[in-house]
Order: sequence, then C-alpha cells, then structure tokens
Amino acid sequence: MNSDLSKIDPRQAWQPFVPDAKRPWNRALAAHLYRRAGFAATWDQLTAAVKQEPAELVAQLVRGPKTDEAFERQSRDLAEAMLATGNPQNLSAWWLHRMIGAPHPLLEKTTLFWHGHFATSAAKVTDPRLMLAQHELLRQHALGKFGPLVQAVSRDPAMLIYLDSTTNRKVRPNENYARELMELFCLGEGNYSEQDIKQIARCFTGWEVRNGRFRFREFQHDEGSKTFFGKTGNFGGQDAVRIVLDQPAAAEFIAGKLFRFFVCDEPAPPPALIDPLAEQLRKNDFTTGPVIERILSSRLFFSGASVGRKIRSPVELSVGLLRALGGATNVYRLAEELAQLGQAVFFPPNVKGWEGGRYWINTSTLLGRANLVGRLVSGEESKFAAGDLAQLAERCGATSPEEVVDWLLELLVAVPIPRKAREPLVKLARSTGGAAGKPVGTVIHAMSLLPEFQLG
Amino acid sequence: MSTTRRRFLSASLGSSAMVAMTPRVPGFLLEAAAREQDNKQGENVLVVVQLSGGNDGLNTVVPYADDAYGRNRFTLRIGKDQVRKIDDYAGFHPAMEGFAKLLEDEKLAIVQGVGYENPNRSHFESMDIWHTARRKGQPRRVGWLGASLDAAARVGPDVPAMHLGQGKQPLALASLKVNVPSIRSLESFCFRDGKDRALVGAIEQALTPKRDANNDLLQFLHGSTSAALASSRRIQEVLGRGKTTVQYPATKLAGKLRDVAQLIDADLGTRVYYVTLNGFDTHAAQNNAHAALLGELAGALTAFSEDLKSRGHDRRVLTLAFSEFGRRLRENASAGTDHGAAAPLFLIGPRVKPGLIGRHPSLTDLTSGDLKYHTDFRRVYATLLENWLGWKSAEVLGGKYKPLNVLA
Amino acid sequence: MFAHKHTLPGSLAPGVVLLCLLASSPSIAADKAKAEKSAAQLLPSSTIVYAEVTQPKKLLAALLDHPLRKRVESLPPVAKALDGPGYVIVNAVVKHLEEQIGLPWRGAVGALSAGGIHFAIDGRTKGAVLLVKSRDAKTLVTVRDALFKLVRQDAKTKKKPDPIEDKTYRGIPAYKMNDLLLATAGRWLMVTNNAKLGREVLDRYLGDDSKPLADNSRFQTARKTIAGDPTLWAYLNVAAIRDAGIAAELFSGKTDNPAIELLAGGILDTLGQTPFATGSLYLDDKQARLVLATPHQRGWTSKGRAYYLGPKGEAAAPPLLLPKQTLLSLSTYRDLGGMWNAAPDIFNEQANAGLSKANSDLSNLFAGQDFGEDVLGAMRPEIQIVLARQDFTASDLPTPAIKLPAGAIVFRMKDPAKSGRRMKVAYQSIIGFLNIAGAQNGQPQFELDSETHDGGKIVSATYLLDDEEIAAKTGKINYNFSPSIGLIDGRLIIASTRQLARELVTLIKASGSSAEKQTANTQVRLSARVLSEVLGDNKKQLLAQNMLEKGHTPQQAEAEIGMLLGILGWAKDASLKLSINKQAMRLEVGLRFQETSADGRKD
Repeated sequence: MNSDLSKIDPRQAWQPFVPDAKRPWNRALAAHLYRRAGFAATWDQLTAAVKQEPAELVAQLVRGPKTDEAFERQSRDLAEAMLATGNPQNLSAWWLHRMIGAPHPLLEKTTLFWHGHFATSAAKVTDPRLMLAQHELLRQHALGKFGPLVQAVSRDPAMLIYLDSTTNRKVRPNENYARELMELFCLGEGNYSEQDIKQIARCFTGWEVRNGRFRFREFQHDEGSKTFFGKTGNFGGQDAVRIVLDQPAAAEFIAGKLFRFFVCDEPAPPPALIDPLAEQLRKNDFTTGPVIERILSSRLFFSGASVGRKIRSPVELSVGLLRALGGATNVYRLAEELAQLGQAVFFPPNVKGWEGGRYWINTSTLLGRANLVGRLVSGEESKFAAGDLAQLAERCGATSPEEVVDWLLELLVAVPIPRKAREPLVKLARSTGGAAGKPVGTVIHAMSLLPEFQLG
Repeated sequence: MSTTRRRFLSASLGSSAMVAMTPRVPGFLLEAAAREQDNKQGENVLVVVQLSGGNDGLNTVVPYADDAYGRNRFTLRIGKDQVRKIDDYAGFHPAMEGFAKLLEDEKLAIVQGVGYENPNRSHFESMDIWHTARRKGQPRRVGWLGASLDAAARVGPDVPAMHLGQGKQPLALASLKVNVPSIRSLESFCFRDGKDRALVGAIEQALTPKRDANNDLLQFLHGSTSAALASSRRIQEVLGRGKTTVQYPATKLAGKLRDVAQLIDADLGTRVYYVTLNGFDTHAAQNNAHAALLGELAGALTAFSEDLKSRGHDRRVLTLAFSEFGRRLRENASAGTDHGAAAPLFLIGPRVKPGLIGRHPSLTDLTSGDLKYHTDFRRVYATLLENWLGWKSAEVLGGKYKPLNVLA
Repeated sequence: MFAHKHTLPGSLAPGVVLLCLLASSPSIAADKAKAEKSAAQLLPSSTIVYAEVTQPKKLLAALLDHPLRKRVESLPPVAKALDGPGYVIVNAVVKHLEEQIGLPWRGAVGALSAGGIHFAIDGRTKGAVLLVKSRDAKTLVTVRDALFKLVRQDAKTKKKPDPIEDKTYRGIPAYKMNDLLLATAGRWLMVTNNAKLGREVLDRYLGDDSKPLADNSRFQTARKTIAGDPTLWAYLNVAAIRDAGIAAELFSGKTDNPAIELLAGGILDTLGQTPFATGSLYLDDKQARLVLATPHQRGWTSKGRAYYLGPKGEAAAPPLLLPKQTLLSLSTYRDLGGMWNAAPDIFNEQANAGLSKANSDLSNLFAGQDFGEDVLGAMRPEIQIVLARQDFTASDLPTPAIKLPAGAIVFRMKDPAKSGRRMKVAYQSIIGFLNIAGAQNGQPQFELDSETHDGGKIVSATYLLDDEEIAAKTGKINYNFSPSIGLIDGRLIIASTRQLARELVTLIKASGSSAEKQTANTQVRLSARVLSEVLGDNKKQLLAQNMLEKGHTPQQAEAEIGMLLGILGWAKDASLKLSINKQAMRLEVGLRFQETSADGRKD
C-alpha cells in the first residue's frame, strides 16, 4: 500500500489485512502490532504470533485474556499503598509497574490514550485519590462507549478541579468546562461558536465539587431555556453532553485522534480516510473497541504508511523495552526519568495532553532516552526474568555477534536499519566480550541512539 | 563565524580535514550541523531570575534621601552612609556591591515602578499574573514564554528553553507543544557512556548511512540524533575544560548561573533559561535575611556577567530579575514587611541602557499603603520578546504593549 | 581440643624463660630474650595508628560460637552463599591446609596468633605493618611453609612465575609477595608494605632499642586508660595526624553544617587539641560495645561551644524519657538559643546567611516572635526527645495506612510563667496557619481543644472529620497527628499526638521532684523490638515499596522484608552515650543482643 496517505483508497485502507507474498505475516509485522496494541512483545510472543492468523491475534489482543484476579488484587493493594503516602508521584510509579506487568496491555495503552485526551494533572489536583478515581473511570470505559465516558468525566472531581470548575453558579456561569468539552474532548476547534459555549456553560450551572465529591446544587442551576446546535430547551449538563456528541464533528474528531494514536503521527489523514471509522463509531453508539480492532487489523495498519511512522513516547519506549526483554526496574526512578523526558503519567503538561510526535524529540530528550535505556540494560536497579540478557539471547537462539544483533533488531526496532549501520553493531557485539550479559546490553545501548529506535 | 564557535565545531564535529580522513563522521551531517550553527550565531539569549516571595524593592533600591522612607522604615531603614549610591535620591542595599559594579560597568538597567492595575497581593495569584500575563478568569493554559515558544520555536533538536532547578516548573514556561526540560545538572546533556570509545564509535558509524528518504520522521530523527551527539560532545568538552577563571560565590543561585553560562557556551540553540531564588517573603526579622538574599543575587549575577564576558557571549545575553510584587512601605511590628505592589526590576547585560529607567514611585502618593506602578510589566515583556528575542508579543501578552527604551 | 590445651601465653612464659637460661649458645639466648619483646617495643615511636587483639582466640570464639551465628547462616542469602561454588573452594583450600599443618584450622589460627595480632601505621615511613605472635616458632614455620607451598603450586598450575621471592635480612628469613614483605622471626610473623618500616621492626627484634612505640609518652598515657579486657583496642596519635595535615577539615574545629554542629560541635574543638584517642571494642554473647575516648581539657573548648558543653564545661543531659512503647529516646544538653547567638563565631558566611533566612521564615511562623531570641532563647539547654509507637485502637479517627511513631520534644523553660503562654499563642497561630493552608489543599481541619491532665495543661488539635470522611476509611497519613503542647512543672512538651503529650505529662509529674543526677552530655537509646514492631505495623507498605523498587514478586518482597524484620529481632536495643568531664570525652556505642534460649528461639 502506498505510504502517501492522500493517495490511499479509503475503501481499501480499512479492509482486513491478508498476508501475501509481497507482505507476508512475519515477526516484524507481529512486533509492529504488539507495539501499537500494547507496548511490545517478547520473543516467545512473536514466535507464537506468526503461527496465528493476524485477525485472530488482533481480536485476542483487543479482547484481552480473562481477568487475572490475582493480578488485579495485587494491583489494588499496591495502589492503596501508594495512596496512603498521599504523594501522587507514587501513583505514576504504580501505573508504570502495572503497564510493565499487565496481562491486557491494550487496555493500559488505551487508558493512556484517554489520559492524554482528558488530560488532568495531579500537579494541580494534588489528591492522589481523586487522580486514581479518574484513572479507574478511564480504564473502565477505555474500550467501551465514549458517551458514558464523557458523561462520567464531566462529573469527575479531578477534572473539574483541574479546569477551575469547582463552582458554577447561574449568576455567572463558568465557561471553562463548556469550552474544553467541545474544543478538546468532543469536537475540536472550529466546530462550535462562542455562543454555543455560553449556552452550554449555563447547562452545567449547579455542578460543583466539594470536599473532593461531585454534587448538584439545584438552586444554582439555571432553569432557563438554552439554545445551541439548533436545539432549544431547559437542558442540563447531561443533555448538553448528549447534544454535543450528536454533532457530526464528534465522530470525526474521535476517529481522527484514534487514527493518530494507532496509525501514524503524520501527515494528517484526509477526511475521506477518517470517514469510514467515524461512520462506524456513529453506528455503534460510539463504542471505541471495535473501531480500534478494525484499525489494528486493517491493510493500512500493516502497510508502510503505518509501520515505523510514529515516534514512540517515553512511556512506550521504556515500558516496551522492559516488556520485550522480560525486565523489571525501580519504577519510582523510572517515573522520575520519564518526567525528565516529558511524559510523567498523572502529570500531563497542560489541558491538551501530550502533543507527541516530533515534539517528543530534542537534544535533551534524545540523550535522556539513550541514558535511560543504558541504565535499564546495565542492570542498575533493573533485572531480567532470564537472569541476564546474554542468557535471554541464548534462550532465543542468538549466540554469535551477528545473531545477537539481528535478534535485537527484530525484537526492538520497528523498521530495518541500513546494512551499513548493522556492521558496526556486529563489531561492537564482537569486541565487547567479558561480563555476562554485557555485550547484549551494550548493543542495545548503542541501538538506542539509532533514529530507528525512536520509531514504534 | 566567531572563534569560539569554530573551536566548538572543530571539537565536536571535526574539521573538514578530519572529515576527509575519517569516514566515520558523515560529511553531509557535518555540513548541515555547521550551517545550523552558523544560523544560530548571534541569536540572543534571555536569562530569567525569578525572586520568589515578593522582594522588598524599597530596601533593594533604597530611596535613602526621602524622609517618608525613614519615617516608615523605622527599624529596617538603610541610612545614607550605608547605601551604595546610585544618585542623590536612591542607592543599592549595602549587600549589593556587585550591582554597584555592574552599574559602573554600564551593564545594569533598573526599571522602576513596575507592576500592573489592581495589584493582587497573593503570592500565587500575582505570580500567575506575571507568568501568564492574564488575570484570573481568563484562559491561562500557557505562560508568556511558553506561548512564545509555541509560536516561534523550530521543531527539532534545539532545546529552546530550559528551567534549572529541582522544583515545579514555573508556569511562565508552560507551552502547549514544546517540551521544556527542568535540568538538575549538566550531566543530563551528556550521553552517559560518552567516554566509551568503542560504543560511541559504533554509534557514529551506524549513523553514517543515509536513511529512507521517504520517511520524513526518520529523516528528522536522523538529523536530531547527530545534533544531540554533537551537543553531548560540546557539553562534555565544556565540562572537561573545568572551572573558568571566574570565581563564583558558593551559593545555590551562583551554581545554577554557572551551569547556565556553560550551557550558553555549549550552545544548544537555547533562547531562554529560567532560574529561581526563593525566600523573599520577609514578614519578620527581615534585615539579615534580606541582606543574605540580595548578597546572593548580586554576587551570583556579577560572577555570571564576568563569566559570560570571558567566554565571549556577553553581548548576546540579557538577564531579567523580577519578583511577583514589592512590599509595603510601612514596616510591620515584627521587623519585617508585608506584601505590597510596584517594585523595581533589573535588566543586566552590556547592551542595556544603564542606570535608572523611569522615576522612583512616590512614597506619599500611595494606593492602600503601597507604591503605585507606572510601568506595566507587560511592557517589559514586550521589550524582551520584540526587541531582544525577535518574537511577536501581542498575542502572547493579550494586547499590544509598547516596548521600553532600555536596550542600546 | 588441641588448641585449648596449649595456647595460654601466660602459662607458657615460664617455660620459655627456662629454655633461655638453659640455652648454651649466646645467640640463641639473645634470640629468645628478644622474642619476648612486645609489639609496642618492636614498632616505632612515630606510629600514628595502632590496634591490637590480644586474645584472637577469644575474638574468634566470640564470633564463631556466637548464638547468632546459626541464625546468620540460616538467612536465605547467606545460606545460598554457603552452598555456592565460592564457599566450596574456600572449604577445599582450608581442608588442604589443615592436612598440611596437621591442625584443624581454628586451632591453627589460634596457635598462629596466640601472642596477639597487632596492626600499625607509621607516620614517618607511611608504611603499615601487621605483627602476629604465634604460640611457638615451629607452628609459625609449618603454617608459613604450607601456605607458600599452596601458593607456589597454584602459580605453577597456572603457568605463572614463582610469586614468592626468598630473601633474608640479617639472618631472618624474609619473603616478597607482590608489594608485600613477609618475615618470620622467632614467634613473630611480620607483614608490611614498606621495606624501611619492616627493617626497623626487625632491627628492634634483633636488639635495637631506639625509640620504640612503647616508650612514647602519649602511647603510655593511652595504655593506662585501658579499662577491663577489650577484645580489640586501638590507639590513634591524633596530634601527629593533625600535624601531618591529614583531614584538616575535621580538625579545623568548624563546620558549615548546622546539623553536624549540633551533633558533634563540642567534639570538634577537642579533636583539634587532643594528643591521642583510643577505641576499645568489647564483644560477648550478650552485647557489642565500642568505646571511643580522648583526653579533654576545659580550655580546649572555644567560647561559642559553651552551648554544647555548658558554661562549666561538663553540663549534663536530663534523664531519658521512657513512655510506653518507646522507639527512640534521646536526651541532651544543647543551649539552642546560645548556639543561634553564637552562630557568627561557629559557622561560615554561607551557613550564617542560611540561618538568617531560616530565622526570618521561622519568626514568620511564630507570629512575629524572633525565633532565635524569643523562642529558642526562652528555653533552657536540657532537651529530651522521644519517639514511641502509637496505639491506634483508642482513636475515633480512621486508622492511617502508614503508621508513624508519635514524637515529642520536651524543653525546660527559663521563665515558665511567661514563655508558657507565649508558646501557647504561637502554637495556636501555627495551627491556624495549618488550617488555612490545609483548606486550600483540601486537607481536613484541626479543632483546638484544651484540657488539664495530671495537673498539667494540654492544648491539642485533632482532625475534625465529617461522617462521610470517617466512613470512607481513607487512612490518610494525616491521621497520625494530633499536634499538641503540654505545660507542666516548667516544661514545655511539643508532641505530635495528644496521647503522647498526656503520657509525658504523667511521666514528668511522677518524676518531678526526683533529683536529676546525670553525667552524660547526650544519651540515646533505640529499641530494636519496638522498631521491628513499627516496621511490622507498616509491612503492607514496605512490601508494596519493595515490589515497585526492586521489581520483586509478592513472594520475593515478603521474603526480603521478612528477613529484615527477622534480623532486627536478634537485637534488643542500641544505645549511644557521650560523656564529658574535666579529663576526658567518651563516646560509647552499644548493641545488645536478644538473648536466646538453647533451642535458638527468643526468650
């Protein structure tokens, strides 16, 4: 398929991917799927994946395994322990720990997507309980219906605190939430007027947060008639959300954001390419799971227009590396390192969330990414289930320097690197003998400064 | 091309002779990087020093000759023979020896009576106003510097702004797109195994081959990675060169400004550096505490200015020192002062018009016991954005503000 | 056991003397006489560090037969190491040596070091030397030869050159191995890294009597201070070290760090003046005790340090406060107001600038009272600090998930009538400030309350929670606190909980009139049992942290935390005592072990 989005036939793009001789189903494509539908696959997962049908695997990844009760219980206990400290930064550590071990990575990934979409920062909210409550709400609806999600977020204390909307009285309606509801959450700029904001703000009067709890104060609610988007009535906040979601722009806006998150950073897709996804959303009550499944199993997704066309976020990069290698690390430290790289979970930089794409990259973050990878593979506050990386390589059948380099490239790097770029890596693997696990770690460290390594 | 810059390029990228000798350094990247460096030459840098807590402007630039000053500062007053005289009305606090010298060297402008309409006396609110140039109730997603970066900064390897410090990043730097790092030490700009020759050699070689021309992202990353490695080498070189001949005082602020000087020297394309000095909220026992703070400020800025000069960068660096508000004219009963309004701010660098800018606000014509402002802080911002950084200011500041005539 | 019968040097001495008398050859007789020189007679007077273990067998027994040994060996990581390949090799080597020497290794070590182990560093030659005195020359030679054989064999199998170079010095067999020189002279084994020092020692052995350490007057004075029978005794020629300019910072008598100043300021002056220091370690089944001592004179202390030692130089701390479940108790003599005033003399400019800023901030908090002058200055120098495990069962508040110990500091006020009320006002304004700040951050609010308890006045602040909050059982960390102050018998109690304030009022009331006869400047006691309980209270938290920090599974975390708590369970308590009198300064650090019954369990 053509990698130029404007030349792609929208009817073809979303057809299910069927491997053929030109584009065979292999480890590279399976790794691409795992990277986008989660964080990364282990070698064993890739080996198993290529024996499956792509569509079957996608369905499996979207559905996820049966709820792992033990994992959930442990995760809840850990979250409780983090809440007890009162420090929301510890929640970041907790979520990273969860992402590294989660049995249903796509759920974590989409929760991260919604966290960026409904960006709320603990820097302002401060109470970790409210942050966790919002987080659970996002997870609960992550692959479900968008409507109930927006309704729930609209009453979410953390969100309202973050948007300075803890009071909203009829004499002076607070327009903040109404504005963000349309601009950032549902429609996007240009799809509403200032007048719409004023009218919708009136619908939300009486919605308040007190002592960390949402409440509706009837006497502060504007009972008058409101007119927006061609409707008139004594609407409340719930009605407002419903009417906003009925706008044609809503489905396109959400489909467009999913496209950018799952398919590619750039260029912006032509509307015709988004339409089929938007249509599917409208038809299915804005249920996002099936749309994500359609994207992940499409011809476009497995084409050159998508593979290696995203710059990995710091979370994707580090959690992906650890998952691929079966590693664990000090997640408190990881949370701090990721903050330095611009992605502190629970602390998005502003109401628009993470801009992402090229904005992840500058001199400071590139060196920071390499240093983080260097730290993780050096075993400094990290460890690997296989014992050390050399043992892992051996278990995966990579023993010679060439095999180690090829194995790592296939496991960790989304696009092929030039042949001439591979040679120095092989040489490096050969020259770095000695301590167990070291040559493998050193090669990964070197790879972390390849431009290809940032792609996912 | 200046000599320092050439020195860097040869250190970090190798001279063209070296390029010829070693196939390791990709020639086209070298040229591109050198071009980039050339373009950056002469780009002005702004350093912001935020004095948090509300600096007592009246005991910083002291109106020693004014009877009203002595009357209202009955225990805290600084006498005629103690001040470092600026003119026959005002003088610096005695701890600010360095500022007197900067003034003598024509590197210091003191903008008097800076503030805004209906002053807010809460630290947080007033600081937010200074950071966003917006009042409460107006949308405040971004800061005045962050918004400027969104509008003006190139996407790429450059780190257009940096905050040096441990604490929360100031709202002034909040932007919607640009990632502004908070730096704890210069090491965060060094590749941690930069001294491992085998490793670095392998990376350099692996970066040499061209990448798929059809993948814009990959092209972008390829260029950025080469630039990042070059920066890492430059920083390592600057660090390796060791301490400068300039002696910095052993204070925290001086330490941060020394880092800034080294970063400017290493040139990462950074236009804005931001540091803070806390502790100006002197409600009680102000005398010694304020003297210590002003001493730290003056000492650090003087050393910084000398250091920049010795490194050959001083003409493209301007430093702003401001606080969220001044303090009340009349001292309180705890030998301290309470939150006030208008105050002086400072601009430092060889390209300022030295001396006092604007008159000292009257000590008898007050608003609720506080000095009245006559210069809106957004005019200072407009000056810095338009006339120093070369960026547009109207949208960022929410209106057109006339730049001050303070830059030579 | 073999070693037991033969290694008492005292009982051997007459036999050796007899042998000497009988010996016909004068050279042999001289040799025997020389052999009786002590290590201090062999070492140079310029020795700056000297350490001796006079009865290594006892130390070995104390370590190897210690009731804790089995427990240490049963710790999973230790047990794993003991099972590991490294230990197997060690065992094989030991076994081989035992065969060569014909003695079990413990017996061999005992015999080899029967006359004591001595270590010294010489200031003049900058060399270090180890002197080990064996039971008899024959044992020494046997062990030496066996070891050398092993080393040479090893080198040979690895095809390396002979690592041992044979030499002699004035008829004494000597050897060079890498950078070390070895010599065996009579019962002495000498190892040194410095040829000059080695020669000097052997010269003395052969009859040279010039300037031995034993004649050094500082050393002689230090020797006289030995109390009891220390397992290890060490001497430090502080004056010589100081004169050599080593660690000049330490001896400058100044520090820039207020925390270090408060802890050790009074010691710094003495370190700058004292001729020597000694250390004695006492180790047995029940405890380990380390005593560091140095001579002290009043005149050595600078004026600014009066806050630390008192105007007469030997001020004493009040007794330790020991409420129920005391985790840590500290009492000390520190005139904090005096220190604040003397800061310009004690600290450098930077630290003073920091204190000025702190003074302004704290004065702010104390409602405009000058912190140094009005707050610290109103207190007498006797200070007591206590941490105690909390009992949450009595509280109406939800139990916090992280259970912190309660803490309190007790001051004696110079003018209780005046300061007591002032402190109450300051306390009220701080609580008010906390309430305003808390309200902005959505924290629960404090409610002030005052009561009379056992004749004392207590003002306390407890969280006022609505029913919803109580029902939510959020377990916030805040619920550890009900900050309170108590006033009784001229004392000011500042406590983190009302419960602790009440308990201390009762304790102080009860001890009120009893004379406070104390000798220590500072005393600290830490209960290992309570510490283990406090950690146990927070086990869930520790497990979670362990998992996130180390990437452990719940089982791994459980094992590691369990081990930590287990090790703590071996100890009873730890203590520290700093005493200063007209002649000496003494710092005593002790660790008492939990007594164990025969089956290895705790009593």
